[in-house]
Amino acid sequence: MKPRNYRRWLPAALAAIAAAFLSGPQGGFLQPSVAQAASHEICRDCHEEVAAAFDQSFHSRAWKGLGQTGGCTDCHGDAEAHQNEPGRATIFSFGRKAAQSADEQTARCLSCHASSSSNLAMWDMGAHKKNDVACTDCHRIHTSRNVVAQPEACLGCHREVRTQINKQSHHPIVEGKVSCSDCHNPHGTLSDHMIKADTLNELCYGCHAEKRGPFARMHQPVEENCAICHAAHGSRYDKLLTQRVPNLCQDCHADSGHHDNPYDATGAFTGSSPSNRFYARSCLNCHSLIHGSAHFEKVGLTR
Amino acid sequence: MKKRYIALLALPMFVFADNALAAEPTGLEAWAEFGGRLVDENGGSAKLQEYRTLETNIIGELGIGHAWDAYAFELTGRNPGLDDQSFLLTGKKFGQFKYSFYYDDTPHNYTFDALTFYTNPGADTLSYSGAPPANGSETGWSRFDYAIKRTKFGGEFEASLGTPFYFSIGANRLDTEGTKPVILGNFTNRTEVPEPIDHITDNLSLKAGYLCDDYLVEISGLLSSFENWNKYLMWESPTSAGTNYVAGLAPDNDSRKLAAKFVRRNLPLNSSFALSGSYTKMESDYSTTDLNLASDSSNSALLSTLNRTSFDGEKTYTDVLASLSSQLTAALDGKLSYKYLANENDSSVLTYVNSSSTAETNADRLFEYTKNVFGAELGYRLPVQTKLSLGYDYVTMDRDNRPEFEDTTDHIFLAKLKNSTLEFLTAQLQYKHLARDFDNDSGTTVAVADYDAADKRLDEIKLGLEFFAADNFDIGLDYTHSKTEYDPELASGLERGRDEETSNAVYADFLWRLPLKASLNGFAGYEVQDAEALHANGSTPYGQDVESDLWTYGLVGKLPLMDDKLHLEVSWEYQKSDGESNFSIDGSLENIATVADYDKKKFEAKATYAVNPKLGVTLGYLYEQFDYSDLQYEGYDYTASGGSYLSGAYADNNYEANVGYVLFRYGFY
Repeated sequence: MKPRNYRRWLPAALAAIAAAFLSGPQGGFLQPSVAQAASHEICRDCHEEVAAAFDQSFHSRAWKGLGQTGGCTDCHGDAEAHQNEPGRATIFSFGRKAAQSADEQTARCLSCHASSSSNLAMWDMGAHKKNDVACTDCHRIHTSRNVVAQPEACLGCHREVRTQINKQSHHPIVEGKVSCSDCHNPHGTLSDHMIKADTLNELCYGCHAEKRGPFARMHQPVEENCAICHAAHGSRYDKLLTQRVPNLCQDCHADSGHHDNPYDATGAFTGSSPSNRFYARSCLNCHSLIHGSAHFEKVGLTR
Repeated sequence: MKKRYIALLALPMFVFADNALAAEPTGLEAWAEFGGRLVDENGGSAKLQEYRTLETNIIGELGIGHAWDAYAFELTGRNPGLDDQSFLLTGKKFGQFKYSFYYDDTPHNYTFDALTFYTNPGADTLSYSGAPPANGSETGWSRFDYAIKRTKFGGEFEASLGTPFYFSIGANRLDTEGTKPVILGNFTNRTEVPEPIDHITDNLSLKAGYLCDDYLVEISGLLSSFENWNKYLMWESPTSAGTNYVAGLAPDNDSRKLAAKFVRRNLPLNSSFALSGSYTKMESDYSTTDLNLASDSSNSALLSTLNRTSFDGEKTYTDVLASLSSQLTAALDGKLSYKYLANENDSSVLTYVNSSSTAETNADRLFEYTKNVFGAELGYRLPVQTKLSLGYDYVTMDRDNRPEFEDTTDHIFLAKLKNSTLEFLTAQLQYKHLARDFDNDSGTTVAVADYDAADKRLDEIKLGLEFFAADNFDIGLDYTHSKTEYDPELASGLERGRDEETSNAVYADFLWRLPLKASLNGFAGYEVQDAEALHANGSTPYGQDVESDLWTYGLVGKLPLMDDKLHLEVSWEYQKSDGESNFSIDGSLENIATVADYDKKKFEAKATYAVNPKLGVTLGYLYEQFDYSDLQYEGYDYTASGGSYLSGAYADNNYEANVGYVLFRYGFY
């Protein structure tokens, strides 16, 4: 029997682990420390709301916890000129309207994080750097929870993806079961489209291990690239296919025999001559093991 | 059902936590949200619940977090006790360690109330009692659901403990069970049956490295094991009682990957260099006994003429990726990249003599390839905040065991111009050209110009605009035009294969931040696609043109009232898709008017009222409707002519649902 008892105890166990953590040292979650608040006094005079929010942030607490004594000026630089002449031009600021470029803004973040997160090592190779995306375009530094809200944070720039993930055939992204960062590393990779694998197939096999074989009989395009047939973000056709079946299949296989027959409306259930090569799943009615067949016999990926 | 109650048992822990800590304010934050949901649904379609549970039920979420100094942890749970429940525990201490543990159930419902004449749907050996089922009637057939559930759980831990050295370990299990539809049979008789899904994938990943401002050196490994509790699916012929056929299901397999990565930053000219390499081996092995082929009536000559009774599958992947990026001058940046991806297949070669006394082999199905990608990019910052980017990729693909398309060469050009000189506008214009040529050095006759490997020319133009019309109003607009021309002409003079694809798409969104923290945002998308193919029925040419358009939009309005105590949110989404398929020989072929046509509507309104800082109440209403039609499913017939015994899979997608819910949220802080 396959062991599945974990389903009974795992949720409770997770809750128990959380409860165990309650016995740890007590601090002030989302509460400002006195020392840190004092360092913000000058800035707070004008930016009270921002300073208060930052005091509650994990970013601030982490800093304090590591013994750092700095405050606003560690990121925003010397504020003397800014005090005399308030404005974005007199302070190191972040965001689209900042006087500093996206590269300069990012460099300020990397001055601490480049040596603390291996995930950022390939930032210079990624498409986001190339397209002048800065850290603060996605991350909210002054808020209590620095969790990038996916997929919304990504869809703000990748508008076409919003339409795709809402199509009738889609990965469960809008349902919250798959997130953008499950497949992509927005901080940069050497792979295409910043996916978290060397190749697309390797990425897909991570969740679809039943497709990786090796099978006795393979379907060559399947082994080469899943995207030859599938649109990962969504499709109006079933199974995330890039084209309807039988057309998708015929664009490679319409060579002879029944493959090159024109499958028109007469082959539907309601047509004058219903064809089991057209109605329902068409080609896949027979060639159902399209990702590979384990069978020892040459059966056209039907068994 | 039992696990639901056990999950709910965890809830009093949070109440206890609140009581125990109430006397002395602490850094604990916890909240729980629970309530009820009423669902009125017409249609009974599984599509409504494709990846979620949406039934009349008790629903809720919970969360707990704590932080002191640089350390924080958080536990969240969604839909505890339901089939789509999930839990996530994360914790971190900056520069020291971080961890996560997770448990997630994801249902995938295909079709409810499917029909079969087999008496044991879900088993690996499908049989019926008595005589073969009558064709043309479903009398006596039984109902079942096509549905699977994927349960994934595991954890990751990474630590550096304040040193440049770091390591991480991660382990997870993906457990999938249920049934999904598969159609088996031959040209005269095909039977749609439930394939039993019952498999586990176990993954273990290890990583260790050294990281500082200038360097990263890392070595990692991944062990993955896939185990399928059903090696085969045997079914009794629907036309001949006692005659059985066998299909081989996904075999057990193992994957082992060893990888290394090196990154050097802060080189001269503000350069960064990265190099990664990996070696992966995937293996499977199974025998004719594992597949129960002795019970397969399809080819009596198979077992007696096979050169071997076991199959040892082995694929290896060798990947090397490198990149050098530089800021050559203040205005000029560049990047060089190279990828080497090699896939070798050393699986067993099977030979046998089929029932027509013809020698057969799988040697031509053991695909391999070697891919090389050379890339170069330049970016130049022009005056008036304009940046010009140019890119070129040279791609070679060398395939084995796909003789018609052994070698292909791609030239990919990219040019992009971006301007942000105006405070209220950022504009981008991008052009891409791909030229693909294949070499038919082997001289193998090309029967069809396969669209993925044949000669083609792609031209794509993208225009992107970001308007910042006011401090509180943003608009984004993208337009894409793409055209791909293939060359389907064969040596024989016939044209077989995809001929041309065109697509036009417009996407837009906006965000309007109104006074009093109210907001209105929305999106819209419009896509038009056209794919033309040229074929020949024997020697008679014909063309087929599949056209489709898709239109979607959505609006979300948020309005806080009563000094932020009452929050109203209303959203509306609409999507409409139309498709058709037309043939070039009028009169002799009947065009297809409905190709994946659908309307999708979603409306939701909810009001959240904060009774006090700890207690909140949400009252909501959700309406969803989906109407789908495709000629391939219209007039669905379980026993249609052509020798089919279908079960109704994917035949019913339509639904209309009204959902009302009330939620009470209590915060423990």
